[in-house]
Amino acid sequence: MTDEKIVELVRGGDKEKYSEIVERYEKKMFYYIKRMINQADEEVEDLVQEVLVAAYENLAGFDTKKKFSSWIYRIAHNKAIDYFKKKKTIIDVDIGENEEYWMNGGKLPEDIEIDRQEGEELRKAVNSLEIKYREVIWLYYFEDKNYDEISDILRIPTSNVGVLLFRAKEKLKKRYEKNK
Amino acid sequence: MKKINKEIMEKIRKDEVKMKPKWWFEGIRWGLEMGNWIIVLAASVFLAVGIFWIELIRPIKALDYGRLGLELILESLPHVSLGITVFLLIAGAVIYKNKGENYKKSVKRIWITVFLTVVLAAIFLTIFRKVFEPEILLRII
Repeated sequence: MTDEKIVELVRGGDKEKYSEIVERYEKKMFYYIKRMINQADEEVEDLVQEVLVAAYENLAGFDTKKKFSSWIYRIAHNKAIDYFKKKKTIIDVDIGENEEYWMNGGKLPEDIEIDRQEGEELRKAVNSLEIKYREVIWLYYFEDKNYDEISDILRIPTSNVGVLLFRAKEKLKKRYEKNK
Repeated sequence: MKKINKEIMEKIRKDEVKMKPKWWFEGIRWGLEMGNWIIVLAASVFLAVGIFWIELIRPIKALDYGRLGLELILESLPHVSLGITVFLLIAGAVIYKNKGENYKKSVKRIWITVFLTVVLAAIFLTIFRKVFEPEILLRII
């Protein structure tokens, strides 16, 4: 069943169906928010809960003709930005159980070869980017979002997504090669 | 992670977390729409004042009078109207950008859309005033 179909059922009164949405997105939201705010797991889990609660509260405002994943990522983005603005400290965290996300980098640029040993350098390079670049790198290469979806999540023109990604790749390449 | 699911569903079942009603979102959407149109209309009214001033003073011809003409232009320039027009244009562009999927449009396109709408509306108001003013006056008399 698609996310949009589940949303329609929840809006129709079947509240229990929302647990499927939570199950599908809690891990994704966890890794996404963790990349954004770079804080300890407990803080990230609190934010994940806030995101999923906010999504439920605003479910009536979601247009089921659009993609639910872009919409919930947008909520996560806003929550992470709010958190980041309140507490600007960045803590370097271990890869730990996030390792799979770094190793399965999806559509990473061809000129950055990734293997287990280089994962640490890549992680450092991504974490050192400004949040606007870090986010777009994460969404495109690790969350497999296309330009249109990233445009919906960040609420920026689709053309700007390409520009942002290009700049992010350039910065990432420089920092990654510097760290090697 | 299972703890998050359990906690959220508990809150939902106990109604500690409630879904906002659909009318709330419709209200916001219509509010933005109405706000946008009110701002555009207001901006066009103030711009129409500027057009009226141009018709009255004819600044290009006034410059033929040299310094005197320039002083006339500067003294009679509707600073407040033009200032409000600029402010409303900016406000209109910001609201327009936040409506629906307009964030996908480039900044240039948003500005052109808002600016052209205001200018066309101001021109329409000017023509309307010229065309209908005599009739309105006659009716009042």
